[in-house]
Amino acid sequence: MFGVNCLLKLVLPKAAVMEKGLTSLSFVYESLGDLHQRLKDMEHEPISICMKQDVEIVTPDTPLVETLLVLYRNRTSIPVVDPENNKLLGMISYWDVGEKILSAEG
Amino acid sequence: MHNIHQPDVIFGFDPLWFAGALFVFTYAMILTERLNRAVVSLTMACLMILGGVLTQEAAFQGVDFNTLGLLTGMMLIVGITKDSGVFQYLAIWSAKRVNADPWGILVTLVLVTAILSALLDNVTTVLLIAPVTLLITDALKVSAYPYLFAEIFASNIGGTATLIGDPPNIMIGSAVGLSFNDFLFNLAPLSLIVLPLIPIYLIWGRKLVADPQSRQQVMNYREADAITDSRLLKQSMFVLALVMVGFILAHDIGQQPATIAMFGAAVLLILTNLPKDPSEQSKRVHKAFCEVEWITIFFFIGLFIVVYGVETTGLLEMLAHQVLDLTGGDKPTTAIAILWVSAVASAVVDNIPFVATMIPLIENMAVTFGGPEELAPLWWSLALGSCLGGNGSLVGASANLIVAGFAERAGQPIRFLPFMLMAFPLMLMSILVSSFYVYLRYF
Repeated sequence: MFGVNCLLKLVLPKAAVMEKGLTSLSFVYESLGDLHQRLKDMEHEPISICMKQDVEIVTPDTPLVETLLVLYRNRTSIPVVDPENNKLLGMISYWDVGEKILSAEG
Repeated sequence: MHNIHQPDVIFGFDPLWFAGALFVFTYAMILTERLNRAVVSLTMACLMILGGVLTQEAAFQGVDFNTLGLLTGMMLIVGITKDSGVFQYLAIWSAKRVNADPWGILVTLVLVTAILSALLDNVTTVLLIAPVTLLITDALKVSAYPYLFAEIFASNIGGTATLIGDPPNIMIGSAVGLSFNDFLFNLAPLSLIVLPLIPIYLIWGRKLVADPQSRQQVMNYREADAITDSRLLKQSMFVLALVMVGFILAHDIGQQPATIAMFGAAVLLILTNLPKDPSEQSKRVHKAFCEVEWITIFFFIGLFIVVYGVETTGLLEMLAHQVLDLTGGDKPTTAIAILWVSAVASAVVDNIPFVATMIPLIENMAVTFGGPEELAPLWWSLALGSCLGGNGSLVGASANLIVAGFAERAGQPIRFLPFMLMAFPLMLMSILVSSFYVYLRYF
């Protein structure tokens, strides 16, 4: 999965985004130019270096409340996948579910 | 304590063969790494008891709680201290002292790693220093390899210097009753002699140059801002200082290092938790205890029992006589042989099981050499060989593998063979220096 936080990952120093890396960068002072340069250095890198591969998914049969819980835990849109052939069917977001709940009548 | 009663081993097997087979199997399993080492050692320890070599009570006698207490106490203290950001501070500060010059940074990081490894355990040290190193080498746009290579060596050489620096020293000190000061006086000088070997060795054929702009980027780091919790910093520095003084005085006031470390951990937990409400306290204390590497602790427990089981059957005594036959019962020859065998063995297998086996083996030589107090040179040889030998290959010490893990994630992997081709000769050089040291100082 690729989202805007993947781009953020590219702009941050590698030492901070790696597993067991730095937990704080409070002492690092870089200008916007430095950050721009770092992003530019990545220009020719394949997308695979920053895409997220271990994403949580839901299937068309996942109950609504469970789906909400997954969304709540991940704070991002979640892929809906066909469990038979692992094909991507679409994406579901907070807003999709929120709108449905709001428009429902008690 | 040997052979007082013949244990009643399952199916009427010969205890010596049964315990010996379990022991060899334990080593083989640890070596193949198919199963986590703590799981291996615990399983084998239980089989030692279930098989009838030891009773549970006897097995507990084999566990060195002083080693476990010292390790756990220090892990707690460092686990709490690291949240203050002081280790990042030290690394950045040292890098800026040499104007972010790539060679200068290599030397200062070697020094920082060695000093921290002497005072804390090696794994913790490299876990804290390697990420900062990668941040700096990334900014300087230089290869991280020489830095990480140097840090592996620095952590093992620094760890050699003190009682608390490396698990083999903790085990030897605890089993033989050697104090913190004994280690400092006997091993620290050798560490100081060997340490400069690293930068000298790395100068060969390696160019480390960084452009001024990149160096400026490192100079722009504000190390003071790395301190994220200055209250915690003061508390933990106070406790660390107290613990170090405690270690130095321990022998004279009749206390064991484990008590000192555990008391330090308890005081630090009080200081950091006292003002908090109960639920916050449980969360923080839980987090502190999670910092203890329980895998290492349980690996130790199982291993102590397995080795004790073998020891009670008299197998190690037999081995000790074999070794003495080979060295002709000559003390200098035995010491140098222990040094070299420990070094090569520690490069190939984890030095913890090796040292756990060697301690009772060497204790069995006391009669030949005229009493336990005559064994000192042999203990220093074992400590030097097993600590420095860890440098010989990537699997030689846990810290090496941790650094290799960081290198891998940074996209500059340290491979097993290339590392060994460079590291093994350097390790042998350090053992050669140690041989002269041991010979000149003790014989």
